[in-house]
Order: sequence, then structure tokens, then C-alpha cells
Amino acid sequence: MTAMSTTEHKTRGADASKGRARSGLPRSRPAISLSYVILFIGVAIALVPFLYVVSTSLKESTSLFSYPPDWIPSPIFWGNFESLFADHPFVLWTINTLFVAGAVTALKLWFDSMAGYALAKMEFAGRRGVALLLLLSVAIPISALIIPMFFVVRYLGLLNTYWALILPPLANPLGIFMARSFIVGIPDDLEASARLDGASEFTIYRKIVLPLIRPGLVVLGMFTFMLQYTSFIWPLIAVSDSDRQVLAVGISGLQSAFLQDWGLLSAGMLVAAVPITVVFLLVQKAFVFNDLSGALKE
Amino acid sequence: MSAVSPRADVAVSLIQVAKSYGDVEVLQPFDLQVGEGEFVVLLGPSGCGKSTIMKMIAGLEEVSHGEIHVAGELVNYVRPRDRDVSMVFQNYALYPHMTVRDNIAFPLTMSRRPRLKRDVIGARTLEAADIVDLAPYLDRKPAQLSGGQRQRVALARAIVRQPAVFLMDEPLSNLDALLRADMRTSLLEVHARIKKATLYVTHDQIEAMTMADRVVVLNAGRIQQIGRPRDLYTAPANTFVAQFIGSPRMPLHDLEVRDDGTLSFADATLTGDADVPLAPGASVTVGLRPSALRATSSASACFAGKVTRRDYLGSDSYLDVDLGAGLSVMVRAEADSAVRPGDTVRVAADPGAIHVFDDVGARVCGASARRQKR
Amino acid sequence: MTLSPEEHRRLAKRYRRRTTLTAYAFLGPNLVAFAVFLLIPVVWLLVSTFRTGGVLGPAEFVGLDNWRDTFSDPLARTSIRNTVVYSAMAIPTVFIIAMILALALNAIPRGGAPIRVALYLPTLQPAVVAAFIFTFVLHPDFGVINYAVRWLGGDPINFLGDTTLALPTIAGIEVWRGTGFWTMMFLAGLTALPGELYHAAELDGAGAIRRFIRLTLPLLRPTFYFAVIFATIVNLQLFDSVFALTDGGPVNSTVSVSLYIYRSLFLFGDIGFGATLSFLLVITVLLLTGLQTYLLRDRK
Repeated sequence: MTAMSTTEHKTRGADASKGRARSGLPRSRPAISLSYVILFIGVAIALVPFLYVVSTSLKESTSLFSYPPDWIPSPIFWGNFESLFADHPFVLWTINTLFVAGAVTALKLWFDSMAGYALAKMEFAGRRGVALLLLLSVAIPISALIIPMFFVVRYLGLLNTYWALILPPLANPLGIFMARSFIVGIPDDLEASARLDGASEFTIYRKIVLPLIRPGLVVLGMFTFMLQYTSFIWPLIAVSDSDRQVLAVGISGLQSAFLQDWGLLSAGMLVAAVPITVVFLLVQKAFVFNDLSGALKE
Repeated sequence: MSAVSPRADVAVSLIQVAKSYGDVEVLQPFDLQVGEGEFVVLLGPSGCGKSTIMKMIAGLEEVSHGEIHVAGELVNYVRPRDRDVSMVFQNYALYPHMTVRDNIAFPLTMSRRPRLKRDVIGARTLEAADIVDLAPYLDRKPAQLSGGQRQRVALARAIVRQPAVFLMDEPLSNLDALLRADMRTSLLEVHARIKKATLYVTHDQIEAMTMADRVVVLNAGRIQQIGRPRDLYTAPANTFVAQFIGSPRMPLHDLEVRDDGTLSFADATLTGDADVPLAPGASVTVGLRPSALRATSSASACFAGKVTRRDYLGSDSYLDVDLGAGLSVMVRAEADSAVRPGDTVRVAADPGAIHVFDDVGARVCGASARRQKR
Repeated sequence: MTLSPEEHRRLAKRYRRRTTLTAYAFLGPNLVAFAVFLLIPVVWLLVSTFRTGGVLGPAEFVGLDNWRDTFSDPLARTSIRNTVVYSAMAIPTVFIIAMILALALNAIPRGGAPIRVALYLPTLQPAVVAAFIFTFVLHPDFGVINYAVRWLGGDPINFLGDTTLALPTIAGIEVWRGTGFWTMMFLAGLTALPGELYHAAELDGAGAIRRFIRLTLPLLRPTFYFAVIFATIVNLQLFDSVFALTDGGPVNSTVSVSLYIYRSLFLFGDIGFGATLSFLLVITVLLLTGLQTYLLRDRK
């Protein structure tokens, strides 16, 4: 139940700007001004550390310790970025991360929406049992399972492969409940109609359910992608080959290998932040709320 | 059009069908046959089980007991998609992400035996859209259509498959009154054109009376009466049907049969028209249909009383008339009748105005009224 | 009846079996992943708590030895205490800040979109990246914060080298990273609230603070329910930033349960001990989420 109500909010929240315009809570002028001040402080705290990273990445390591610190590096030094790409498999790490996060996201959206459809709309023996089991397992912390997971993956001969990174995250049941909550919102008559029209369950899933829950899936997908992009402990354990590693672990390796090369580390973090930010900005635009109004009476 | 004999070409046949959820019985066992080309309306208040019947035929609900046959084939254990029935839903259930064209074509694209060629699908989609006058809107999405247009898309999507049976679940109840009357006519035209067995669920007695070949009246999970609209009106099987059909609602009065087998009603004597006279001493219920009672000045009137209230309806007026002794009736008057509350009027009863029911509400017979000599 | 009751029963059973099979076909991929990567590990974990060895030599049944070891290990206790103290600092802080930002975002008439993106940027970073960023920002020698401290005439603060400051500092970094996520979550909840209720409350003369306490908070209960449970599960798994910043130091003041689990396997090779600690973490989270579910249940 946990996931459901909230994800409902989440989908609607994706349409936040429009939603606000519609519900239009009345606000006084001082309240609005105060809000802007608060948000300005919040944005500053969120962004200033990044400026620091930008500044550091453009300095030679020797000039880092100048005091007081210069915010604007002069001259601008590109050596950190050159070293990043020349001396480290940084491009590979980026590709690995995007591939793994993309694969996990695609598979999870597929599997979770299928399972969510079964749980939301089908009557079958053992349904309550399955739902309860999945719900309980939401509360199992993954980092408590790293030891047995390590041995399972080793037993399967998958250590140090992409599979080791892609398969275990598929066991997280949270997405099923989110998908289920989106699908519960589809009027029953819609699938009933498709069923009478001759559609198989799989066709209903593919032609009716999937298109209708797309806005929700975008949110769930972004969430999954982000979780995967930032995951650290499991890739650290499951993959030892530097060429197969993901960004988060690779970057943390930059520090230990080249003790405190702040310029290089900053350059690495900056470049690593680019792909996920681009993905987020792209998806942000796609957060459009599709409504089911045509299917209903009003 | 006359009712098709149920035994001849039967499109849908329900044999001792019942439905229960656990221990809760929502539908008592009943039989029903729908003939080929027949238009049967399931009529009843909400929660009476009429939609459940429809869903069981469609295969959307399991049948707890009994058998359902469509086109001669047992379908209890056949998947909805293989049942050869189409359904129009109350909220239309249009696929909001598809155009009108894709909505209508959907059942055809799903067809596997035989798989249809694209040009066949296109042609049949157009044909169905034409029947319901939707051709100009084929490329719109449901959200861009009016309620009536959406309703017609749903209808076209049902027609296009050419199924053995049509199921319609309150298809007009989301339309405003004016549109509803138009759509009734259109639906009947379509039905006359394609001539397929149709089961139509509604709670609106006017829809039932105007559209049906036969009406099945349901209440609380029980079939009350199956019959032609005229039969329901002139010979309601029980007090429920008598009150549910006809407007204004028929008032009922509990009376006791006198020793001579007649009833005393205000200053009139009611005589049953059955072959067997009413049993002396029996408790009965008498209903007087307002539309068959007339305010009159004629001496042949059977009742007289004081008008307590007048409702002007445009085409005519209805008067509440207090006959004394705690009895009152509602009677029809000319729209521009000069009668006002407080006036005294005489009331004449047309044939078929008076119905006698027994102590459990089942109809016994009609009755005629005669003014008692004073 | 044209078919016998037995025949009906048989056909009905077959029909239901077919729908059940379809449903399990839809659940299939998930159930397989679930069994291999969740069920088997949990069972393996439980079994391992009663065994020793297994990495090199054969495993041996040792009864409750691992449990005894775990409960009597002072560092295990420290790791649990650190993790709980960390969560108790981080979760309320991030919730309050995120709620304030969400309310502010909900109040402003325009400019929300770029602000939301900016607030979300920290959330998009891996915890290790956030950790490194703050290594600079908090650095005793050239960090901007200590620059400010010196300018004000104080002595530079070694945020991550001080046993009392290290854990709160890590909590602060995680708050910085988590604020964007929870702000969006709460904002989504706020925008979904029915506006008419607020108009009515305003007409009744309820002030802004009263409206928030009497209306907004209760209406957001489902959002909070998810937030509290999800935050508990995530925060009790604290690992990444500790690993990147302090590796448990100074003097074990930031050792978390997950870090200790990681060490017991990859440093000491003591699977039985690590498994017991892991199982303890599973039980803790299950109990806590259960308790939270009970406390946050709908009382109506």
C-alpha cells in the first residue's frame, strides 16, 4: 500500500506547474516573496558546491591551495579533463553506467508493468499471497543482502560481468507496486471492452495498458534510472575489472589511486554529472499528464 | 414488431442462471431466451442485478449456477473474446489514446480467425462509422468528441464485428435528456438495419417501453416479469412492476374483500374481472393507474372527491383527489382544466385502470368500478 | 441443465486454471528475479548465521556462536548505534527542509520549473560524488566553509576528522543530496490536495499556520507514510558516503552497519558474522517499518 498512494501523487506531481495553475491556492504577496527568498537560499545551497567543483576542475592541482581561494581560475587549465580521458577509461565507465542503468530501467519497466497488471486486474489463485510476499520484501534492505548476493552471483558465474550489475536490481519489488497503482487507475470497463473485442491479455497489456500508464512509467523509469546511476556498493563488490566498472565506483577509484588529485576528481565528477542531468532534463519535458477523460463520462 | 417465439431461433439462452458472491445471492435462478433479432431490455432499479446478467453473458463475471448458451453453444467456460458478443458500456470505454478510426477498427484488428486484410478492415470501419454518422470524425481522439459522438463511437465499435449478440449496458444514461431521445431513435434504426439479438440494460422505463420487443423487469435479484411493454402496462405481474412502470407512480391501497366477493372503495364498488370471484375476507392490494383515471363531469363517474393538489405537466395535469375514508387517487385532467385545489371533481375509470393484487403483491385480476347507490 | 454438475465443476476448474496460469505468466519474470536475488539470499543469510567458514574451507554448523559474537562485539553495537543516530539526524532534517521548500514551490506563481531542476541536481549525483564535493567544501585548509570561519576569526574546523562532528557532517551531506528528492515528493503530494478545501478553510478564517497543521499535514498522510518508510529503509543502509569520506573513522565514530557487513566479508572473510549482522539489519528494518505502519495507520 505504501507505494501506491504516493506514486499516485508522484504522477500528478509530475504535472505540478499545471496542477498549481488549476487549483490556484490563494497566496498573499508577502508569502510569495518569502517563498522566493527561501527558494533562492535553497537553490544557492544546492548549486554553490557545484560551482566549486567547476572551479576546481579548471585549475592546476598546484594552484588549488592558493589562499584565499580564487573562484575564477586564471588561466583556465584543461589538463584535468585531458588526463581524465587519456589516462582513465572514463568514456567506458560512462558507457557502462548508461548501458547498465538503461538496461535495468527498460527491463524493470517491462517486468513491473506486467506484474502490476496481473496484481491490479487479474483474479487468480494465490494473488493475496504473492502481493503480501512482495510487500514484505519492499522492506528488505539490499545492502544486507550483499554477502549472499555475492555468492549467488559467483555461483552463477556472473561476477565481473554486466549481468552481475543488471540482474540483481530486478528483484526490487517497489516498482511493481508503483506500476500497480497506475494500472488500478485505468477503468475496468476499458479492459473488459478490449477483452470482448477479441484482445488477449497480452494484447490488452501492450495496446491498452502500456500506452495509458506511460506518464507514470516515465516517472518510475526516471526513478529507477537514477537509483541505478547512483548505485555504488553492489558494483563495487560485483565488478573488479576497471573496464567493466560504472562511474560512481570509477570516480571513487580516482581518489585512492591518485591520492587527492582534486583537479582530476572534480573534472571526473563534473563529466559524470552530465549524462544523468541530460536524461533528467529530457524526461522533465515528457512529464506530461495524460488524462483518461475520453474514456470516462465527463 | 412482434416478439419472436422464444423457442425458434434462439440467440441467447439462459437456463437456471444464478449468481452469488460467497453466501450472498445477488441473482436468483432464472430462465431467459432472446430470439434472433429480438430487442430485449433488462429493466430495474440500480443494484437489482441487471448488469450482472449482462456481464455473465459477456464472460466478465463467472456464472455461479446454470448455463448460458450463445448461438446454441455453451459459453460458461469460453473466454469473452471467443463468445461472439459485443458490448456497449455505460461510460463507453473508448480507448482514449486511439483515434475514432482505430477505436472502431480495434475489434477487427484483433480478429485472428480469419485474420483480416488491411483494406477489409478499412472498408468495414468506414461502413460502421457511416451507420452512426461518424465519418467526418474518424481522425479525432475520444476527448475531442461530444458525449453523443462518443456514444456513437462505442456503438460503431460494437457493430463493426457483426457479432451474434449485442449487449448494451445503460448506453444512454450519460447523455442529456434531449440527446437521449435522439439516440433512442438512432439505436432503433441501427437495430432495424442489422437485426441482431440485443440485450439492453436500463433503469429508465421510458427507454424500456419505447425500445423493447420484450422487457425483463428485475428487482432485488429476482425477475418480476417478462413481457411485451404493453403487457407490463396493462397487466403488471405484481405491485413492483405496477409501480415501476408508468408515470406518475401508481398509488396502492390495502383492502379486504367483502362477503359478496367485491371490494368497497370510497363510495364505489370494485368487482374483479377474473373468472373466479375474489375470496371473501381476503386481504388484497388495489392499485389505480393515474393515467387511466379521468377527471370528468359525466354522471357515469365512479368516484368523487376533493382536489388537494394539482400538477401541471404541459400536455395534461394530474390531480390528487381525496375520496374520503383515508383513500386518495391521482387522476388525469385536461392541461387547461379549470379545476383548482379545493374543488370537488368526479372521476371516471377507463378499462385497465384498476388492478387487484393478493397479499404478497402478485396480480390477481383487473377490476371495474361502479358507483354505489346511496 | 444440459451438463452434469460434475462436468460443470471440471470445466470451471479448467477455466480458472487457465486465468491463473496467464496471471503467473505476467508475474513470471519478476518472480524468478525475486526468487533468485531476494528469496535465496535471505534464506542463505539465515542459514549462514548458524555456520562458519565457507569462503575457503567447508562450512560448519556452529549453532548460536555467530549470534553470541555479534551481540558481544562492541564495534557491532557501535555500528548499530551510529546508523540509528545518523538516521535520527538525517531523516527529520531532510523532511523539514524539503517540506519548507515544497511549500514555497507550491506558493510561487512562476519560475518553478528551473528551481525544481536546480534543487534536484544534488539528488542526481551518486552519494560518493556528493561526498567528494563536500570534501572540498569542508576541507580544513582550502574549503570555502573554513575560509569563512577564518575570515570571522575562528579556528578552522576539521569536520570529518573530529569524532563528534564526523557523523553529523555525513548526515548533513546526505541531507544536501536528499533534499531535492523529498521536495519533489512532498510537492507532488501538495499539488494533489483539493483546492476547494483550502478556499473553505480560508473563508472559515483559518490562518496559514492553522491551515497547514489542521489540513495539509493530515491530508498528506499517505505521502508521509511512504516517505517515512522509504527513508528508513534507505538511511539504515548508509554506506556510500561513509566509505568514500571516512571509511568509518575517526576512531570508528562513523562505522555503519553496512560498512561493517562489507568489512566482515571483504576484509576479515568472516561470513557467519557478516550474515548475522545482515540478518539483524533485515529484522531491524522490518520491525521499524512494521512499527511505522502501525503508528501511521489510518485511524478513521
